[in-house]
Amino acid sequence: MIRLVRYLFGRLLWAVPVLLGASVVTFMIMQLTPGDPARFILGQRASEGAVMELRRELGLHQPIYAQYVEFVVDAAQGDFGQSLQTREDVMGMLLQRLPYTAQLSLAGLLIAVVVSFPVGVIGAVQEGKFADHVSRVGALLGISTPNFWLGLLLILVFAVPSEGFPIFGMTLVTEDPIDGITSTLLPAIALGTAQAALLTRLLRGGMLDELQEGYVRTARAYGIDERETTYVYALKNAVLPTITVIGLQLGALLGGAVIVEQVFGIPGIGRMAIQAIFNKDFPVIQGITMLVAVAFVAVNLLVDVLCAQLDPRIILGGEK
Amino acid sequence: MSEQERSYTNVKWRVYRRVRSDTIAKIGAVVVIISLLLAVFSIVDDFLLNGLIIETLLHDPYQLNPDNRLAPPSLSHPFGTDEQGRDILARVIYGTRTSIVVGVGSVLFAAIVGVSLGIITAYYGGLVDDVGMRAMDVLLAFPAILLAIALLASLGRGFTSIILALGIAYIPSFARVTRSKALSVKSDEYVTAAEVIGYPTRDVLIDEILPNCFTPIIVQATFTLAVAIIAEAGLSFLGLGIEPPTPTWGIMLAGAQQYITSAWWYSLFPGLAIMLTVLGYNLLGDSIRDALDPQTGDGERRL
Repeated sequence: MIRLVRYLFGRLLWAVPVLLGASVVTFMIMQLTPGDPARFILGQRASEGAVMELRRELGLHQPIYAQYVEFVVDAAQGDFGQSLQTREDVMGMLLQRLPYTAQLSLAGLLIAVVVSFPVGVIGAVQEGKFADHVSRVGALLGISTPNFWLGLLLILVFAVPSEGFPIFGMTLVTEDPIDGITSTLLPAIALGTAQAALLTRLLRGGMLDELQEGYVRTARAYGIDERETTYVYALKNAVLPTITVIGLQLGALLGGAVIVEQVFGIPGIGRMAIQAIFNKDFPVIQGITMLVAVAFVAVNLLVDVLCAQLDPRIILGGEK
Repeated sequence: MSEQERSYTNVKWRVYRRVRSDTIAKIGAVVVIISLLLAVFSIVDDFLLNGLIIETLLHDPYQLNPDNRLAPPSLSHPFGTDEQGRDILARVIYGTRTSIVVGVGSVLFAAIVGVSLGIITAYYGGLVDDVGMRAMDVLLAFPAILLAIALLASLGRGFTSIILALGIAYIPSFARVTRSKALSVKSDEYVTAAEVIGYPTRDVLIDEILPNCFTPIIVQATFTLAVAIIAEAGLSFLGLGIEPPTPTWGIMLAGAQQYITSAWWYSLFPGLAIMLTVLGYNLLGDSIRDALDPQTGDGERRL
């Protein structure tokens, strides 16, 4: 237990420089942009005085390091300022959009896990047989198909002829469970397919490695039920690295959501990001990138701890 | 010297033998070669010949033809036409160059920076290693697509911007792969020997360590190229990548979205082009990895 606390503390210490670095990158995005944001917001016709006033209001008159310190201090308190476009509080906008992206990403992940586990494991168990070939070709096609094109195809095939699946927008499950599920299904398939394919490949490889391990041979020699050997002993060990990868794939999932939201017209943070970029709405872009970085670091910390709990061989913090 | 040269030729030989003997690998290699040839063809035809060849064989990919908009596939237009009456097959062919140029460009950029970083951090260790790898952790905290989107916000659109944006996003994967290989290579005898003889550090890094890290780098490059092609198409689809009227598969799909119900061919063919090309690179990547990774032996297993 003490070890766990010490490990957690160490990992949190690791997260600090990473997040600080992320804040530098996020802050730089605005600095690197040519031109004056104040001038861009007000347009070419605005008077020099009005531009100066807006610069003061946005804090742009301060030296860069002062601007950065202010940005970090505010960001640490969840304050990313106001949208340049709508004057809304960025954090409020994020919280309003986040549930849609979360619902889409989690549904995509769920589909990926539900599909990849049986397919990957069966592929490994049936190595070289028909089922294995099908799963391998399917997985290769899956990682090669762009999610937005898959989304378009799904709309073409399912949504248009049958009125059952809405092709635009998304209902939150918390508002209406039935509509929530039907409106999430197609985008989640578009988003989850590539992840499913990736996990299938990993699980198949992991299972094949495990099935050749000494303990499997021993279990077989002892006459332990083949099914128990495969699905309990080997699977348990093959799943662990997969969980780590699921954590790392969260980034890809969120990145994919940006594009899939655009295809299906889902009002999540991805769509918000695209709009913000066209409007050069930097506080919004900064808020989104920081939020995603924090989420990514937090989830991977969680995954590390989870894996360590599941696998007694992993010693937290590593005895160097 | 002859030692490492032999191992390098051996690597090339193993890949070559594998691609020759394995049908799947052959398909991958053929797709990759076709995509490269089409990219070169469209660049030469567009910029040197002003579209002469493609016009003679098919149609001018830029030619608007409002009378023939959204025409279904026919003998004259095998892939149909788009909302401006342009021939989709001709545009798909011309679109190859965007994917390939952006893919190869961003992978080269990421590889050059990432491999240098990986070798330097592995060789010097200590503080250099800590700082370098922490910097990679920072980049990895952003999803590649989102990082590229944010960078494009400040870089603007166009070929150079998108190559830089994707290139930066892919640096960490090259740095990590190279570093872990270089860590094992640096304690090999020939490296120690070179150091003892008094080779300058630069020569040790470039002549001794780098060639021995090639295997994982090549595998990484092939897979990253597949990912980069999808990413470029996605960014162009969002309207953040290449600017029209340059034909790209992503922009074509963005246009097709509006006509999804009325013109299935418009969204089908550009997407198929992406999928086939990416599949080719993935197949080739799998085969190269299997040929080079002694652990997978027969190479059938991990595909």
